[in-house]
Amino acid sequence: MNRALPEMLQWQQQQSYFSELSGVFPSQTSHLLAFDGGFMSGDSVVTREVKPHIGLETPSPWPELGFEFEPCGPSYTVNYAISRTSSCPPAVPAAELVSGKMGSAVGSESFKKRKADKLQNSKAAVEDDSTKKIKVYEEEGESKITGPSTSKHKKENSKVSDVRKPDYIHVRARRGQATDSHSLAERVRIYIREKISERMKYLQDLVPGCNKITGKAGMLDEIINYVQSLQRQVEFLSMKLAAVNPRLDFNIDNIFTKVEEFPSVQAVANPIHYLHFNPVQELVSETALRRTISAPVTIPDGSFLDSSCFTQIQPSATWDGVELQNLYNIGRFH
Amino acid sequence: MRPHSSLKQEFVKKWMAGLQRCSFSNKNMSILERKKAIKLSADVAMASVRNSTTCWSRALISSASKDGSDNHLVEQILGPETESNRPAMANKAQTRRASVCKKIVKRSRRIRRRGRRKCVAAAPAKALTSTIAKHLVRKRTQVLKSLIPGGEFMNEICLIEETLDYITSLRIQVDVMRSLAAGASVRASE
Repeated sequence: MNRALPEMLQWQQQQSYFSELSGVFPSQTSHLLAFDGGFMSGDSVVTREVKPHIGLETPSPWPELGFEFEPCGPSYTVNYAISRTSSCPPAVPAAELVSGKMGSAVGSESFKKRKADKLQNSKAAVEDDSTKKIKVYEEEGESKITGPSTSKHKKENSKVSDVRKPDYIHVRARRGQATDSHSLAERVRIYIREKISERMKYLQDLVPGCNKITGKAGMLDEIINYVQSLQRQVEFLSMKLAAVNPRLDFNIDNIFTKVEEFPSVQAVANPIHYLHFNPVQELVSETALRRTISAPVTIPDGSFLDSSCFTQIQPSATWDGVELQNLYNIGRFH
Repeated sequence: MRPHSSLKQEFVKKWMAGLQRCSFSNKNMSILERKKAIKLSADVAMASVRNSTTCWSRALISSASKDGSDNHLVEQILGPETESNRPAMANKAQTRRASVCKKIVKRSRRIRRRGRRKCVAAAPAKALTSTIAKHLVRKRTQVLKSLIPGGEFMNEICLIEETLDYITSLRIQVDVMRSLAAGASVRASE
């Protein structure tokens, strides 16, 4: 009992510090006193002794708290409360508490360190009510500090979710609209139908000869035909290229000039430009027979762009031949 | 979507790089082999141009690399980018499971429909025409799904979007190939 007394005193001191920190000083001490009375079989002198002690200690500056811990840690390690609090480095929590209480954003301390401290503190403050309150304060401070960063994370997350397509369709009932499952499902169906018809309009613009067709089945037919024709063209052209080139190396100069040519193709698409262009390019092709790339390449390309809206599933071999002949005739005419 | 010319340039670059890799690997090929290599390289190049954004391109690459004979070709064409289609390979098991699930759902639907048909028989003519139209649309949708790579696992909205993208990229592919073929044929004739 006698042995236990100083330990309890120490413990009470600590409790009082913490109660000071938490700012609920009177209620805490009264609680502690009641507790002491029950536990220590009513040694009133001791409890009274404690009270002035607390009063003495109240004006003590914060760093002293950390200083106070150090002697009591090694001397009375039997007390579990002390050992627990002394397990964490004493100076850091003090600073921590100050920062937490003042609510000042401490930029100098790294976030990781603070987090570790917080972990330790939370370990230390499992059972003590007063320390718990301190922890709450700390958390408040920390939340103030870490507030922006967490919100940033949230923003990033929301960005990611925005980018990703939602798997479900979100339909909100407006005022006066029914919210039972059937009408919701109906609304979802209408939404899907609207979306599909919107996309179909784009497809209509894209697929030549699809403008005049009404009805979904006919449009789908047209789209299927177009895709099939394009696929067949790719097949055919690859066959043609394979037949033309015995080895699989296309001339790289050829390719790069062609790449440069691409913007000019759009200009050539205009038929008037086209006629103006033609003789010049013909000359070029005649003068530079070795580098026959530029003129003949662009001419059929332009013609393709011209007539792409009329010719859809035409076999391209005959078509190309006819076009080329026409072009050469024009060139000669000029 | 980017303007066509930049897409075309990118496609041409990738295609030529792939073709060069192919031609380095084996010099003597028959015309069919060459044709296959050209087509595959063009497809894969187009898909890799649109790789990250669309479903059809991923499906195309994964299906091309799935075939045993084409596998090495695809690896040659894609070259350093082979890592990018690894996730697509990993998805294969998932898609297989999805297809199994779909089959089960279809079967159950068929059974349910069988039960319902007796009641529908007496329905008015108007409803009948609408059901016929629906049937036609469904059939067409199925065909379209079979045409577009990876289309079996798309819903309708997604399918139409992918079709839009696929058509535009096919057009670019055809444009480039046509111009190249024309240039090559003219050179050959001269």
